[in-house]
Amino acid sequence: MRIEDRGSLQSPATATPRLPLTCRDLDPVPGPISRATLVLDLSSVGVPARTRALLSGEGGAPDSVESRVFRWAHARIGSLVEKLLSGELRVAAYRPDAAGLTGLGPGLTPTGDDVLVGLSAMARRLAGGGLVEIRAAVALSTVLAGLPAEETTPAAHLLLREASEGRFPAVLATVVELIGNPHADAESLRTAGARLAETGAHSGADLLAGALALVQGVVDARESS
Amino acid sequence: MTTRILVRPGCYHDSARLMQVSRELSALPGIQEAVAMMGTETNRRLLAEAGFLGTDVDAATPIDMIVGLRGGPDTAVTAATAALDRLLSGSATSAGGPAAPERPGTVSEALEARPAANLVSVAVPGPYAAFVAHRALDAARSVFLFSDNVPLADEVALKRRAAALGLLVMGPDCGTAILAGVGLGFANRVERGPVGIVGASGTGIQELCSLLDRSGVGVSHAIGTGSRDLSAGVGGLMTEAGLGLLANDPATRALLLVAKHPDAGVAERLHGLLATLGKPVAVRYLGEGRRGEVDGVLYAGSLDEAAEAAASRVASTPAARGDLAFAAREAVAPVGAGGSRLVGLFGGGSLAAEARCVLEARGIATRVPEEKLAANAPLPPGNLVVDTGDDAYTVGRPHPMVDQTVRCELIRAAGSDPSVGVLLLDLVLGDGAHPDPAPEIVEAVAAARAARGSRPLSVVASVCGTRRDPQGTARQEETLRRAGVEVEPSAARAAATAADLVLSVRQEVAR
Repeated sequence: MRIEDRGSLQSPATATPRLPLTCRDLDPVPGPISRATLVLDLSSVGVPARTRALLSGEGGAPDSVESRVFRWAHARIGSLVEKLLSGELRVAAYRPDAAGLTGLGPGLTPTGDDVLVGLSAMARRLAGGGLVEIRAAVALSTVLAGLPAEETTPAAHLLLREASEGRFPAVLATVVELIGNPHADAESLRTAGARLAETGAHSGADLLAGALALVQGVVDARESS
Repeated sequence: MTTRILVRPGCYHDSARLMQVSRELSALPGIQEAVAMMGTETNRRLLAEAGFLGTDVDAATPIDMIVGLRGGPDTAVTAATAALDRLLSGSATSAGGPAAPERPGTVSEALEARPAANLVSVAVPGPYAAFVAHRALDAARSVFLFSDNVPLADEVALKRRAAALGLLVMGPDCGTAILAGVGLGFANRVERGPVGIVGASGTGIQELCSLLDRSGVGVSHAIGTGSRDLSAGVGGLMTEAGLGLLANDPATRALLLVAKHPDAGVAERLHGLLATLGKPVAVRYLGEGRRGEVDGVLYAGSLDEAAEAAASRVASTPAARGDLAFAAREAVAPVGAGGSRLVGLFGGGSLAAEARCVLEARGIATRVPEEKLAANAPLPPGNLVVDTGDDAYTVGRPHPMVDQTVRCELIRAAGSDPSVGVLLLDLVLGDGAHPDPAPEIVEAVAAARAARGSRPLSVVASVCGTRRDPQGTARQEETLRRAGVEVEPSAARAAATAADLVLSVRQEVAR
């Protein structure tokens, strides 16, 4: 190659390339988390329509691709939550549902991957608060680490890898740390939840869905028991 | 009802853009449903279940975009397909014919718009960078790869392929290059001249350009290689290629090589090459001491010494500033017992390394704090040298060469601490950098001084910039000087001045 003279060209605009979301470790859990606090927190945090659709499996035009994303995701989220709450310790038990979620849905980090990250963050948090078996939360993390790179987008794979090592998008971590914290006020949670929901085109709402699915699961399980 | 499914290989957009594409296509007449998703296996199964079938889809990968369209009549779907191409090229709103996209979405779009370009500049998120860079190599173009977070294996594969093709891959994590007078990334505006530079350190290259410019010597080309090029894994592939290009370039009469922490084996192998290039060569391995001349290759003890050696080999008269050992510097005014600690707050990582080396050589032990410094927490003990461009300080915000908020907060906090007597700073100018950094620094220094009352605070700053840089190097220096900041032309010289100040305070305290 010869370095040709192109003196008339302008310097390109430069932008520091970044991953879609900045990740960090979760703060340690200050103490046991009570179900009463979770009930209160569920009523405080605003739930956007997309998050609601993922939690209920209902949304989008009938028979549309969007409605299928909600249905597929909902079924798998429900199954994962059930396993986490039953204290399932076998990594293999989590794999089929996680594999069904990775790469699912729209976005540069597909919906299913965001949901897995949100769920894993909340599982770690609630494990620290004594509401989820720690080894079950670890099993889920192990599954995230092992999901094949070629089954989702590179950005999502990186996000899953971060999550499997306990680092989560900062906007999600803030919400997760406020949930179940009796010293946190409702306004902070509302604000942090709204900030998360506004993140990206879908990602914030999808991450929130993963986190809230587990909280809802804990609350429902206690109610029925 | 017509169903059509389209695959756009290697075409990815952020989620907001994908959503916008879906929405705008859905709003077209006759279109019942439009979805744009990445081609993951799960999405392909989902689309198949929803009736979007096509042979192309089976071969799609997660970095390909799949668009599904459902509607009728046939012509409406065909119109939506055409609209999709306009939307993706970013010219959906332009009337007239196809416009060259300002920010092309793919390498082929970029090369269609500028077919004569022989280099592709890539700044996409790390996980996608290797894919995009390979497309440039496919098209026989060299690559300036600004992206970081690129896996080492991808870097090695890219560089091996480039070397086999006789092309360059500058990066990943390449901040600076100047090719034939054109700056890429963060670059100073240099005169064209006889010195060629190869560097695995962005601010190292910039400091060399600045020092050469101050000596009135221009630069033929400065080839960045990316920070890991001299690691054992990469093996100096692009450093070798860059040196080879410059050795064969008739306009280059002397060579400079700068890198941080080279692998010993790679450095040894490179030495064999450097000694046989047939042109004068000076090397600065940042953080290492002076080794002197070995087989005709000068291993300099500072960037200043390397730059001066190159300048003196090409200049008809000796360089104007022959003060490499910093021996003849004017004595600095004693500062009074304002505290004996030194805190260095740098924007340039290589400049921080260079400063540490000079400080240590002058008997000032320094350390890099293990924990990230925080403006509202007490300073850890000892003399500190901090690279505020480190990942820990840049989470969620631009590099301190662009956004000085964090560094200014730390200047206020560290400067207010009465145990600190000397602040050591750098200012990096040039294209891409902050448009006017000195006033912000001066304001932070003034706030720190005000908080100390009568206890003096010495501040020494180096300015890395050329006469033609847009910020006006002379004006930046003047702003600093008027605020009582000692200004030096290089990080090494600033560190030497700071060391003298610390020693003078210590002597005063001892008395």
